[in-house]
Amino acid sequence: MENLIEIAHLCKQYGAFSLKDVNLTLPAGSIVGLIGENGAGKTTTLKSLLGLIRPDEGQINLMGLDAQKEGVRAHREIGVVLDECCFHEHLTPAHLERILSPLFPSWDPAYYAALLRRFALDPTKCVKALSRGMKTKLSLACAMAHHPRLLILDEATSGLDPVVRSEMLDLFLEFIQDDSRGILMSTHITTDLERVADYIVLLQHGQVRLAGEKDQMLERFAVAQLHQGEEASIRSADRGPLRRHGFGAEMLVADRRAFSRAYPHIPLNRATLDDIMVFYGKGEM
Amino acid sequence: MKGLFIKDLLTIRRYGKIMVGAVILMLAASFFLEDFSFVSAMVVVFGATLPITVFSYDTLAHWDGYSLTLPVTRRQLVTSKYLLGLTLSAIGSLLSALINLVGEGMDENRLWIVLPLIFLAGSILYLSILLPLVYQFGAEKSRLMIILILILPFSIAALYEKSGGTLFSFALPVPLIAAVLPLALLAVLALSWYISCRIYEHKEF
Repeated sequence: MENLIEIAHLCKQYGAFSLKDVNLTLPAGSIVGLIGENGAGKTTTLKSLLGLIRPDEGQINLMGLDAQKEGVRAHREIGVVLDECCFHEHLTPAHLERILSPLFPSWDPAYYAALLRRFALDPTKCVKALSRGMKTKLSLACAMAHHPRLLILDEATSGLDPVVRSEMLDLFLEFIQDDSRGILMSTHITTDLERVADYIVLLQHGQVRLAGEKDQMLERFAVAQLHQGEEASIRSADRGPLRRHGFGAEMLVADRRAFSRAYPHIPLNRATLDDIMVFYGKGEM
Repeated sequence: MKGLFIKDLLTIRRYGKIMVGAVILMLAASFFLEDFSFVSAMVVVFGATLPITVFSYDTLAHWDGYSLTLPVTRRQLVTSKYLLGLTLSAIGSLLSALINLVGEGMDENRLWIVLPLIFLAGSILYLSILLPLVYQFGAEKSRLMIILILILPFSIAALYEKSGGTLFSFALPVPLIAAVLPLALLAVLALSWYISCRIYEHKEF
C-alpha cells in the first residue's frame, strides 16, 4: 500500500525552537493523529509538509511526489483545513466555489453543493455571519469538494462543540472508507483520536517521542498506582515517567503485561492518550 | 490563476463600491466646476491604489498561508497581483480618457489621451516600486513607505524651484521619451516582478 506522506529526517531551526529529525509516515487508508503540547512542533511539521516553511534538512514526499519540486501536482490531491478560517469575511460559499474550482481540475460542484446542504450552509451567506463551527464546516467543504486523496487538518476541531466535532469525525470515517485516501490530523483533543485514529505520533520539544498504532499503544500502556516510596522497589528498566500526588504516585508503564507479571500487587489502570501525553510532558523521568 | 484573480475582483467589488461612490460625487462636482482634470486624475490613482487594499484584506483574512496550500506556485501568486495592478491601472486610464473626452472634448494636443497615458505610466512605475515593498514589509508598512518615496522627489523639486533654479531649462525631447518610455517601463516592471518573486519565494508563513 502506498504511503501518502513520507517525512524523513525533517529538521528546522527557528531561533530557540527546532524540529529535530522528525520522521512520519502516513499509509494509504489510515488516519494519523499528531499530538503534542503547545509549542511541540505540530504546526511547524504541517507547515513544512505543505510548503509554507522551508525545512533546513529532510525529505518530504506527498503521494510519492517530492513536496518541494512537485508541490502543485501534490496539492491538487490535498485538502487542507487550518486552525482558523482563512476566508475573507465578505465571501460566501458560492464565491469560494468560483475562486477554488478553477484551481482544482477535480472540483465536483454537485458534491460541494451536497456538503453545503449536509452542513446546513447557505451558499449566499457571508463568512462574517458564520459561527466558528460553521466556518470550520465551510473550510472542510472547500477542502473535500475536489475529492482529495489526503486531508490535512491542523487543530481543525478545536473550539467546536461536541455535536459538531462528532459530525466531523463521522465525515472523516466516511472519507477513509476509500482505502486510497488518508488523513493527517493534528489536535489536542485526544479523545477524538482515540475514536478515529489508526496511528499516533507524539511530538515533544520538536522531536518524535512516541509513534505507533493507536490500539497497540492503548493496549500496551498503563498507569501504575504506587504508594509513597514504592517506586524505589521498581527496577530501573521497568520504570517510566512518574507523577507524584498527595498519597503516592502514578507511573506510566510501557508494557502492562510484563509489568503486571513482575509486580502483580501493583494496580494498573488503562492509560488514555491524554495520560500518555501528560506523563511524557510533565512526568519525572 | 483565474481563481486568484476572481478572489481579488470579489474583494475589490466590495471596497470598490466606496470608490465608485466617491468618483460619482467628484464627477458631479466636476460638472458644476466645469473642470474634469481632478476626477480624471483620481480614477487613475484609485486604480493604482486598489491592489494594496487587496493585500490588506488578504492579510486580515489569513489568506496568504492558506493560498500556499492550494495548487498554485508562489510565482503564480505574485503574477496574479501584478496582473491585477496592471488591469486596474489600465481601467483607470481608460476611464480617465473617457471622462476627459466627455467632459472637455477632444483638444488639438490630444491631452485627453496623452494625460491618461502619462498617468498610466506613473501608475506602472508606482506599482513597480510598491509591490516588492509590500511583499517584503507587508501592506501597512508599505503604505507609509510609499508616501515617503513619493514625497521625496516632489519635495526636492519644490525646494529647488523655490530656491530659484528651474527644473527643465532645456526642451524635453518628447518623441524620444515617447519611444523609450514604454520599453523602460516594461523593463522596470519586469525587474519589479522578478524581485517580488524572489522575496515571496523565500518568505515563510
